[in-house]
Parts: sequence; C-alpha cells; structure tokens
Amino acid sequence: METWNMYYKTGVCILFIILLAAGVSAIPPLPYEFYGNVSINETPVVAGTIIIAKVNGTEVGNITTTAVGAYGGAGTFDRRLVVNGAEDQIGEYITFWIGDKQAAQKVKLYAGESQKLDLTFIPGKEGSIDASVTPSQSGTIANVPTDEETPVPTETQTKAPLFIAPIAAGLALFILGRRE
Amino acid sequence: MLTGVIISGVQGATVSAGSATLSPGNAGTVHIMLDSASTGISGYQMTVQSDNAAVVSVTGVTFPSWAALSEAVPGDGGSYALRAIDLNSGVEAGATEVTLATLAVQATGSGTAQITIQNLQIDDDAGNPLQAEAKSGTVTVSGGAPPAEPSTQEIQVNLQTGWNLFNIPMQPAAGFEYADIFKNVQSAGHSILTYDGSAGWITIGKGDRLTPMTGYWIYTTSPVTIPLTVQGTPTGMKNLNTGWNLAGISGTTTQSAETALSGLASWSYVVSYDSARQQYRDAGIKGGQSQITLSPGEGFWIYLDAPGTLSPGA
Repeated sequence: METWNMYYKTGVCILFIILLAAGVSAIPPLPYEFYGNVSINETPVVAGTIIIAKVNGTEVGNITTTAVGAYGGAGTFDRRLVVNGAEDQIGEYITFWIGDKQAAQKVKLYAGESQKLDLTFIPGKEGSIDASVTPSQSGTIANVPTDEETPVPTETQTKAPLFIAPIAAGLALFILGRRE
Repeated sequence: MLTGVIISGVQGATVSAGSATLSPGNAGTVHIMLDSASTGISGYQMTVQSDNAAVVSVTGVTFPSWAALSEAVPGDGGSYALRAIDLNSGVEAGATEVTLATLAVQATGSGTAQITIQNLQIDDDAGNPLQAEAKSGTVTVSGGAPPAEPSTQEIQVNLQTGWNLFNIPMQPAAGFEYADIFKNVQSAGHSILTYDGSAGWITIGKGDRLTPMTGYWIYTTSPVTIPLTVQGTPTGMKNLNTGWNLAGISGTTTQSAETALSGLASWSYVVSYDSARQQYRDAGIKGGQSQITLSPGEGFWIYLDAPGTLSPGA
C-alpha cells in the first residue's frame, strides 16, 4: 500500500504541475498616463529632469522633462509619463520620484486611465496627498484564464471535467489508501 | 537538439530553395525542400535571404504542420533565421521531398535573384547531424509593363466613446500610412498604443507607420469615423511572439477564429474588445465549443504557445 500511496502522490503532483505549466498569463492591462506641472520646493524643475514612477519600490515608468516645470501634455501624440503596471499591482499606490525625492502626490494604479497630475516635491510632504481617481476603465481588464485563476469562459467550463476527473480520482484513491 | 558541428551522417541529402517566376509587383512563394531523410529529422536551422533585394525580397515564412515548434526571426539585409523542431515525429525515416518551410516573396523590381540558404544544420531522429548540401533557388521577375497600381477603396474606422481596439485590415494607400490620420481624435490625454510581446506597450507617435493586421488601442471622448483609403491586401506577414500579442485579420469579411487563424499552429486564446459596451468579450479558446468571430476592423489579443506568423488572407 505504501508503494501505491507513493504512486498516487506522484501522479497527483505531476497533474498539478501540468496544469500550472499550462496556465496562461493575464492580458497586459492598459497603461496609466500622467502629465502636468512639476516643481521642487515650489520652483519649477529644469528641462532634462527625470521623473520616475514606482509601485512598491519598483520602477513602472519614467519621463524626462523637455520644458521647464512641466512633464508631458494632453494631446494624443504628446509624450507622457506612461505607467505600465501588472494586473496584480492594480489598486496599489504609484509614487513619483526625482532622484531620492518623493512627490507629495500618490495615485492608485488603474488600467487605461490618463490624468493631469501636478507633482510637488516638498520635504516632509512625501506621499501625503492621495490624488487617486475613481477607475473608469474596468472593462479593459480581461476575464481570461491565468496562472492563479480557474478559467472563467464557458468553453473552459465544458473542458474542466477532462482535467479535473483524473485529479479527483487520484485524490480519492490517495485518501482511500491512507485510510487502509 | 541541434548541434553546431557536422560529424557524420547520410550522404547525398539536398536542401534546395525552389524557383519561381513572378510578374512585376506580384507576390509568390518559394518552398524550401529536403529531398530525402533516410533517418528522419528532429529539427533544423538555417538562414535564408534574397541576394538581390532590388528584385525580390523575402517578406515572411510559414512552416509545415510537422514543425510543432518553429520560428522565423527577421535579420539584417532581409534575411530570416529559421528554426523548426519535429516534436511529434512527423518526418519519419525514409521520408522524401520534405517541406522545411515556405517563403513568401515579393517582386520589388525586374530581373533575377537567388534565394540563398546559409548556416544550414539538420539533425536526424537520433539527434545526429545530417549532412546536407544547400542549393539556392532562382526567382525571376519577368519584364514587361510596370505593375499596375492596385485600385483603391475607402474603408472607415468607426470609433466609439471610450477605448477602441481597431485593426487596419488592408494596405493603407499613400497619405494614409501614418498615425497622424488620427490627429483630430479627442483622446483626453490617452496615447494610441500597441503591444509587442518582447517590448511591451508601445506608444504610437504621429509619424509612426500603421501596420496592417495589428491591434491598436485608441481612446476618444465622442464617437468619430476616420475615413481610410486602402489599396489591396497587406503585402507582409504579421510576426507574433510567444505569449500575448495584439493582431488583426486581413480582408473585408468577418471570419471565425478557427478559420482566420488556421495558419497558426500554436494559438490558444483570442480575446476581442466590444467598444460599444466598453468591455472585453468572452475569450475564444482554440477547439472550444463557442464560435468566436473576428471582424476585419477590430484588433484582438491572441495568445501563442510558440512564435508564429499571421498571413494576409489566411
């Protein structure tokens, strides 16, 4: 029985590994874009200043200013600070940095938004202003299978028994084997 | 699986590029063939190229069904680095006249060009190098009258309020090739975007050329129709990476995903976006029960398990 137990455990593990390996990553969320004015201690920053956006300390976008005291613009073809976040970062705060200085503003990451955000860098005010918007583009998050989720579309529901049946059988036999 | 040193193998095998005759301006295909595989093949790699791009250029590559894993990587000078692996023993020992790849070629002038094969390496079923001679093929573009300009037609890009995922299914005519045709769209500070599996999100600039069979995201504050003059089907293929890609189909008719993507061996999901409802539609799964349709004017996400190419009119 110990031998069978080992087989069942091995089989179940292999099946789970196969399912995980077959997982599909999430559709990349649309970026979040920012533009506006920028100052340090109420002085407009010089052209050539690099502004970096971070989520949990990881850079998710940057822009180099090309005009005094401003970054990006509102036109379709204007440059902007483009934040590329992952699906699991949605709802996390974006913080904005120039070197080791953090802006007073912070914004929750959502997909497909664009926001005029004036950035102010004042000592003691780091991250003190929550400038988050109400998300308006929730439809641009796709509902497709991921590594972490059970597939949702109808087609996968009809396929699921093909995958689940051998696992369930393996688990049942495994449990029976332990009881004996 | 592939080794870099040819040690021994069956003598006399030949890999040859086929010959073709094209009319000026026309497209065609050239097959890369292995005449005999007495010990089967497990995979190959090679570089193909036209030696006279002023006469003929290679515009894309498709692989036969036995090549479960394959890729065609564009290189310098219009070359393509081809790799394919026979995972399912599709080419057995003793096979003859084995198609290794099919090249899409485009006549760019008049005269003669050679399709050359370089850096050829083939392994047999046992993993041993297969010694094979590479032979170039000749593509002749016959003289005569210069190619007639394809007739133009006007199509429309209809944008709904909010985000839209559109595709240009035909070849844009002169004056309509660049993104500035969308310069009057009120985008509320949103960029036009596309996505590349290796580079990630790409922001489209005013002077960027719009590529047919590519999904582009665009945002508008109100419905707007952009007229677009096109001329014929796209001339190039759409290269797709492993993972998620933004793509579109060619032509003017709506097709089922299974039909439109039949030339792609390794796709597993397609997801399109309903701009009227501002949300994704249900994912289409290869071999699934639901019949997913793809509209020419809409882009879509497609997930590939291995690199592939989407052919115009496929």
